[in-house]
Amino acid sequence: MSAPPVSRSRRIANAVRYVYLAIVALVFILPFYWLVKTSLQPNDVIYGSDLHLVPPTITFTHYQSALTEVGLVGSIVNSLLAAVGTMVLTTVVALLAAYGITRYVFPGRRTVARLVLLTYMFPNTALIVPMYGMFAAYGLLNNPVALTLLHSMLALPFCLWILQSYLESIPRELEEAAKVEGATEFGAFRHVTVPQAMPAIVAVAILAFIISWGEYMFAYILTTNSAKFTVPVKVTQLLGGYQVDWGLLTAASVVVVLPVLALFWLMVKYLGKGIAKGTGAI
Amino acid sequence: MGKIELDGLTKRFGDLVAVDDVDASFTEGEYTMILGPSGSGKSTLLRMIAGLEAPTEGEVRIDGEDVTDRPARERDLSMVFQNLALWDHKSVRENMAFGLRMAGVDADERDRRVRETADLLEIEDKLDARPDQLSGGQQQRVALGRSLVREPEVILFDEPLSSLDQRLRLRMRTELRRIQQETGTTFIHVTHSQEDAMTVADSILLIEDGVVEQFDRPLELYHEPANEFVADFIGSPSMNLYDATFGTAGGAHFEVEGGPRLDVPERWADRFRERVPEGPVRLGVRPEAAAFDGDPALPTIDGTVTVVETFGDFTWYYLDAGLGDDLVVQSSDEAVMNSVGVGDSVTVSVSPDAIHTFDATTGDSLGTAQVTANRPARNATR
Repeated sequence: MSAPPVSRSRRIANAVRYVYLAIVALVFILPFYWLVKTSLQPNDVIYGSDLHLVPPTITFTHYQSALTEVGLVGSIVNSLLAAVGTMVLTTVVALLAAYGITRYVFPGRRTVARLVLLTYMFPNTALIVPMYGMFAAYGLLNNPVALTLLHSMLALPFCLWILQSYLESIPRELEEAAKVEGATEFGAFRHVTVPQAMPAIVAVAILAFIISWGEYMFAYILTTNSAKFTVPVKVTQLLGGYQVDWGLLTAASVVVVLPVLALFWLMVKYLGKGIAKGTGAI
Repeated sequence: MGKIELDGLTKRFGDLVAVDDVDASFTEGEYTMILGPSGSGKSTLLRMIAGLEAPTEGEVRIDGEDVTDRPARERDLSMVFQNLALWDHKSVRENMAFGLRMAGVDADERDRRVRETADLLEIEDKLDARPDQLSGGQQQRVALGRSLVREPEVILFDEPLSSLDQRLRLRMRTELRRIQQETGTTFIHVTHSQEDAMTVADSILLIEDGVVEQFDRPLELYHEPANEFVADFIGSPSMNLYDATFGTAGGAHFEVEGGPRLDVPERWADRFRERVPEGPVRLGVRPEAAAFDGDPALPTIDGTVTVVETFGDFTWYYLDAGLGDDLVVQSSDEAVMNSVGVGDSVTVSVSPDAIHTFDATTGDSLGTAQVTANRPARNATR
């Protein structure tokens, strides 16, 4: 009894494949590992001259000071307000718009779908001044509503595109069957379209959340009161003028990345299904 | 209840006329098949009855009431779709109970009726499964159950059997017929299979290019096709059709183009003279109406067998008789099936009873020489 012979060339090919994958994984994982490692090291190790791949001692003092001394918790609340607002607004608007574009024939519906993507053609920096002017004129500076609106503008086109292609893939007969069985247009939407599109809806919601959570530039421009800073703005403020407290900075960074990671792990099943089907990859 | 009438129903998509001025009246409690080749507009017609497609012109009436502008949910009918359109995110029970829920039936009553229908369809042990966990045949039953449970006046079918394999298809077909008889519901069923239509339907509406070619009992379509299209479409193998000339000089006769002269015996001659004008005509003979006995009292055709297709209880013979197209003859005569083979020269006789004639330009039937059989007509009481 011997195992079937594996040809030499196949074994080499496999080895090459794994080496390649290891390199790719390293490129992605190493910076994050370095971030976590630094946040757990005492200052004398961080600023010491030796390079450690594994921290020689572990401390949580940086986390303690990040959460108690510099007002990170307040900025997390600010970010949550904007991110949850963006998530709800973007998902609702994108879902209804995608339904309208895919289910109704009206003049210019293709154009509408394309024009939405056109907004990505403008560099965001070109919008700084008009956006600031607009929100200032409406008294919305330092207001989470402003960030919700602006982040929704950033997230909407891509979310709409994903939902549109996903709704396109749902057989029309599923909704028609509901209508024949006595459902109204909205009833068919609620009982059939929404549950059928759930993978894409969840994916889009997470995406909108992440886009808002990580957005820096507009959050910085539209917030003048440091008590209203969102997380990305807060973290960059920790980069002091003359010296950088690496331990504090990395600990704060880990704290703000965690919700995104948690969301991602929770919904990775949905994300994979939603995005893959929505973009026609399956 | 459940009488559906169509009045001048027309659907245009841009320049394309999918359904062209259809008038039809579907008898309540009957099983009607809408039969036609693909692209004939039969599904569009059904969707307009369902209220899923708005007609460009014309009217749909249910029990005398104009429902043309009413949405599907207000028509008290149900539909089984080609892809069945079962909701995978709901259990079989929820799928079946949906219509009752929309109608505001309370939970206990819903449960009772779903169970009852599931019993009838023998899927009572599948109620908690999801549709995508079921076999094709079980999914068919769930889709049918979803329609039946609400006890609508009319159920529409859009080729739901087309995805099944042959055995299952035959079983479901019979079952549909049985359920239709038991419930007395009006069934309107779109199909491209003339076999399904002939075997199961009370009436067949044959449609081509959006136009109704004939709407009648199956046997009427078979024996008295309204035109050449119907004659060609109904029956398997298709009717043999040839260009011919009808003449009366030296007795009534047909001269098939490039082929033999068929003299009509005196007994039948008058019946042809009454209806068929002299000159060009289309001549049709059903494969099962031609015989190998070579009866000298009847018109005969000589030919050579080129292909033989055996089915067990009958055989198809393709003859080269110099007629342009092959002459196809079906025989279930044991003696013939045991002796005639490829390359044999044979003489085939055709009873004038079985000769169909069609107008050479319009294709409209000029009738057969056969005395009309005593078959019940379509709107007659049965």
